[in-house]
Amino acid sequence: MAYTWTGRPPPRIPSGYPVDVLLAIDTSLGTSVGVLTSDGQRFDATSPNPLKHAEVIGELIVSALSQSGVSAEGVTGVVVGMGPGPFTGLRVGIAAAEAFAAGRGVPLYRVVSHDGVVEGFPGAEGEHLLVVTDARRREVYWSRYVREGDTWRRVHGPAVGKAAELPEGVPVRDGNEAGLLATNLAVLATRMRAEGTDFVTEGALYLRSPDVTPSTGPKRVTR
Amino acid sequence: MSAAEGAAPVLRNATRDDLDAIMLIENSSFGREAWSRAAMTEELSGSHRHYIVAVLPADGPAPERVVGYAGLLSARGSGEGDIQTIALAVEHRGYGTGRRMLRALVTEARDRGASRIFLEVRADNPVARGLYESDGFEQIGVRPRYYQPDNVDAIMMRLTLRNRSAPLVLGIETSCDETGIGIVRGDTLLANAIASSMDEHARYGGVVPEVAARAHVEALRPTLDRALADAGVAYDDLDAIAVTSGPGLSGALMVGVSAAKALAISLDKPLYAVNHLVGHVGADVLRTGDEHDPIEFPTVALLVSGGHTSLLLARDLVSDVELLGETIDDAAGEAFDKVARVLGLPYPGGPQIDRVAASGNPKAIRFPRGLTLPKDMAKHRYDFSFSGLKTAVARWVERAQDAGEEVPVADVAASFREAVADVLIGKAIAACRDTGVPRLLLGGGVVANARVRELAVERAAAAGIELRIPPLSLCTDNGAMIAALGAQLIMAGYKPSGVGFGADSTLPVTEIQVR
Repeated sequence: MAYTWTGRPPPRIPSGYPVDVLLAIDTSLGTSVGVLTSDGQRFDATSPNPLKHAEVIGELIVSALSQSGVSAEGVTGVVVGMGPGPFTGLRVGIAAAEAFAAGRGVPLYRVVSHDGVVEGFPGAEGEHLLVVTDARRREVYWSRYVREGDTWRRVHGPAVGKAAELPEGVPVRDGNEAGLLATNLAVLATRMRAEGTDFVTEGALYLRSPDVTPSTGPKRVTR
Repeated sequence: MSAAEGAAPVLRNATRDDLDAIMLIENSSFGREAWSRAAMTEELSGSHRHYIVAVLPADGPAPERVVGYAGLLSARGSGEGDIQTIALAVEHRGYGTGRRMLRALVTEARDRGASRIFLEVRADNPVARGLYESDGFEQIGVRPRYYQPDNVDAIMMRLTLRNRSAPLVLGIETSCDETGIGIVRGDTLLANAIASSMDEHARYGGVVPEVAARAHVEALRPTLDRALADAGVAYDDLDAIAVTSGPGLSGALMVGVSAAKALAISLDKPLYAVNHLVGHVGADVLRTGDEHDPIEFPTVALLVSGGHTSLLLARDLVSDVELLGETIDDAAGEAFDKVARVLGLPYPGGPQIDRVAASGNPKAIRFPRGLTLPKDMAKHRYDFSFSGLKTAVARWVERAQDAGEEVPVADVAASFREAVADVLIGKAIAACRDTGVPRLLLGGGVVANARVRELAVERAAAAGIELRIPPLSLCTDNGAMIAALGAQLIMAGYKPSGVGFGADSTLPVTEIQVR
């Protein structure tokens, strides 16, 4: 009557789910959440409101998951749009994606949000296209693409600047008008993984420094 | 006479001196599968282990004799335990000693906060399996041909401990410049991981909201992972998530709020959105050492930091908190920063002023005590104002400089610090007296200030008031206090917040949980 114990029980492996299921989140424009299932089905839940990202993000994640019939445990990867976009809202999506990936212990794929705006958009070989989104303060975020085969390749940007200084004679796709479905980013990430393209490795694409100047020392209170 | 007819073996903790006796039993019991002497030595002294021996006590000339041993692996707070081994000398088997050792290990695991205990047993050992089953272990799986070279399956078994009243909660705090992730089990602190962006704010002389918010996003994942590693738990072990919904810097709060929502959904666990200021009070429910008695309510709480200066009356932590007063202009910590700048000291000002004030005379200059005149006390009895004080210091310094005098930095710092401490503690003690509550809790980063603490100790003692000051790591902004408040809400039976709430930069203290 003696017995040893060594090792630990095997990990609980979720069963009955598709092998590759991506949850995608983007808050560079409105708030957009989507699920791309392994058989290519897309389920999007979006709020076009350019505000209230933090309020709606949870409900949209729940909605996208429940539409797709995938439980949180079934998600095998998270895709997130890193911007550019207005800072406060942009961070909401990045923080949510980071936390979801952490909780499930799955990889996080960071992509440029503008790339999602042109994903699936038709075009002729060699054609140029600008994606332009509102950067506030009378400026725009923009990226330039060239049509190659079935996809658009980004050749400049994302950048920030005055609308008047955009390259002339290139058709513009207005991102704020077109909107962005998060599953576009999931499709994009799937292709990037297959092609071995690099994902975004730096942090959020703010493209601007915090609006603050270093202290110049105390001001006099007496004259 | 058989061994079992004599005195029953007693159990005690194993020591390195028991190694020889243990190895004798190990080798005779396990043969080819026996652990090596080195492995056993490591087991006996390893972290998170608990080994016991069954011994026949010394009897006259016969020395104490080890007849069995058993070992547990359970990291405190992990929620899990593993029975490593149980072995008895052959002539002592069958008399219940194995069961007593098993139960001693289960009790130890429970004390360490475990709710699940695992073990593996040879499929061809029905006696052992019977013992485990009769003590509540259930079979959860089989590892085929696990024991080699005998080619015998391992049966994996698990005991689930009921009455688990202390939930494992992860708290997220991002209301200002600290990214705080804390983990508690009930009122036990398991982890308090903090990343601060303070250094990045130094060149601006104060917290810049956009800089703070950017830093939160970057610190989020590493701080989460660090907290889990410190606590020795996995994400799936968590029972709930808690997060600061407000008050605080809006953009900074949103990072924590959205992360908490996504984390809770990813784990399918309930989410509690809580009040930052009440969280500061909640910090004191955490047991961080054996000497710490649990906080009693009602209590008055003085919360002072770079962002807040608030006097609260907490009749009950989860259901009844009232704001008695707060600053009508600058927070006390802000005043320290500004005065430090006037004196040419770096940011953050609190520790700097504290340092130079140590050699100064606090009575050298009589700086004004804001909102303490009779006319103010009628309307602002428990409110604070530090803007006038800060200006008074600046004027005094400028006058001295204009007159070509050398500014007595130590005296100015000491006198300024005295004015702040005097008003803070004076009003807090008055609140205790007026409300008849003989308890005062301090919270917030300014608690680090030596004079504030000293004056609190002095005056509380004189007034017969019990003073409570949590450890500094729990006074400054942190996630553990948020987890602690979340755990208290859960244990009091409150429902989760759902995922539809937002960040509220001006959340009132009466709103302890946001629904």
